[in-house]
Amino acid sequence: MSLLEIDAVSRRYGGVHAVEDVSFTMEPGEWIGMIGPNGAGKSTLFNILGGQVAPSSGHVRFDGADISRMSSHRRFHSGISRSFQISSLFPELTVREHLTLACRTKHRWSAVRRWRGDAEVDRAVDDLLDRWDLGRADGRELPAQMSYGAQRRLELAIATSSRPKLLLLDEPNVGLTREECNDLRDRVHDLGQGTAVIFVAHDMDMVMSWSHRILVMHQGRLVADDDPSAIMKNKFVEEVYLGAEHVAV
Amino acid sequence: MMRTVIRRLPVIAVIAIGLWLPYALDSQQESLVTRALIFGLMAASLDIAYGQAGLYSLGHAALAGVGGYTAGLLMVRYDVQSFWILVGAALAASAVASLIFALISLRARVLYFILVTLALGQMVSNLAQQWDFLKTSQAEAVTGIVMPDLGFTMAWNPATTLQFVVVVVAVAMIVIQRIIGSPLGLAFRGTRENEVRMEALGYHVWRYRVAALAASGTMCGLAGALFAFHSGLISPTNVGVAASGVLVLMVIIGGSGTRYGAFVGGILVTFLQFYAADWSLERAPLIIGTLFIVTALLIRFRPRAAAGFKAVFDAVTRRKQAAHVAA
Repeated sequence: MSLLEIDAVSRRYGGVHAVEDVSFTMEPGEWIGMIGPNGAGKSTLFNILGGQVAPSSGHVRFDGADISRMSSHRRFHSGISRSFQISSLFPELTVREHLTLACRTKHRWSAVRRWRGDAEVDRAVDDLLDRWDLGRADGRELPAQMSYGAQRRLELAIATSSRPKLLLLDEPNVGLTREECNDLRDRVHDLGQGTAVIFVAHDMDMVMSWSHRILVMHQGRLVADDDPSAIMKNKFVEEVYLGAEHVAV
Repeated sequence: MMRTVIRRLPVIAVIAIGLWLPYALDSQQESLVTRALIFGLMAASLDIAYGQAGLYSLGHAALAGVGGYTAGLLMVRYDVQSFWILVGAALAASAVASLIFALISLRARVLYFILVTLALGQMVSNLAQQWDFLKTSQAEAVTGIVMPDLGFTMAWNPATTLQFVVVVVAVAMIVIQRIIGSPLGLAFRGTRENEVRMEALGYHVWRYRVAALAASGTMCGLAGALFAFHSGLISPTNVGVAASGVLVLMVIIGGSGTRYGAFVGGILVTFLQFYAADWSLERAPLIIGTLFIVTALLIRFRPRAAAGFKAVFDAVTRRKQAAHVAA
């Protein structure tokens, strides 16, 4: 049984098909890169997987269960986590508070300041601060006081704190150097072989080196689903996405 | 234990000063301080929803009114005198009213949420005006409310009333601080900052917002009951939209989303209202209105916690940091 099954998923906004009849499956531990020109439907499909948008038709199955209509907060508890663009960090919460919100899976409704489970959460937060190199000022910094790279690390620390079965990464490389990108990949790899990753990116070198498989979206449709070497040779992909720029390279 | 006591020293000192105040004030000043503390509690209660959870309610005076009317009517119509029963009933009634408020208003977002809370507040105010059961006198108010029976002999006068209110408000503020500092309080702030991310982290945002409004409204109900005991009456003007607007003003002036800002703002605005009216009864609304406008402009340029102590504190802190760096 596949970890994730996308079966004929479509999403329409009025008469516009943002995503149309997309199907694919994914195995545990697999890394899938999603590419396509702007408006290709990548973000909509990403939001359908994350539960922020419901499909108009079709089914999404995760771990054998139909999650097509499942809310995003329930998806988190079933093992799906996602990252966002940096602008969606909590602007007025400290790094430590960000990580505490992410790490506290129990006693979230406690109205008592010090719960006995808090020590466990504190340890998990300290561990994340160390592991993701976010311990400056003991985690008391606000996102605006951090470097761009540190904000990206915080973003990924939050997304990976629950050790999800499926991790959705929304353009994890934006604004980062090649070294920082590779560093992020290694940190996500450290989660373990069981974590499957789907990521959206525009950097072809990164997509080629990170992915086991690549999905190519165009005008809402999945036009190619293959391993990186096959994608590089795919004429249609070359024309609609890689285009002249790739040919020039 | 000792460290906890030392950390709490400022709070203990404030409570001690509050209990000592009757020895330094005349009865009119005692009454003013009592009223200011009650409104400080009301503003701090509103701030659980307003500052912590980002729910900009314009109907919280109605929730305080539910507490005040419940305690007042039980005392005047049914001769219930026990403080514990009256306050228990006020808390329960305002909790139920808050839940109803939340279930209706949280169907809407942002501006529409504000409008729905405003409409709900106006409905409660109209109900208080129209329903005869909610009037015990020609003044169209519940009158004849007195200080309740605590279960032991207590000679009520402005001094003992102030001391009693200091104790109740201190306990209520500890409860509010507990909520703010708890995992639940952090979740409230998370829903304020980023709803989509909170959902993606497994938090059911709508439920947390209901909880924030319920906690906030319930504490407001307690303040409403104290207001009724202290004032001796409660009327539709105490629960109307204008009263809710003043509560919001208190929160913003003190600094929404801060630990004690709203409480301090409540005290400041109450003093301002009193001294403005004392100086010139006709010009008092003009002064308060000007304050409203200045506050609105400050919100325009500093959206949250614009005015008040937080901004002053931040400015002082920054100056100190700058001096430190320069050195």
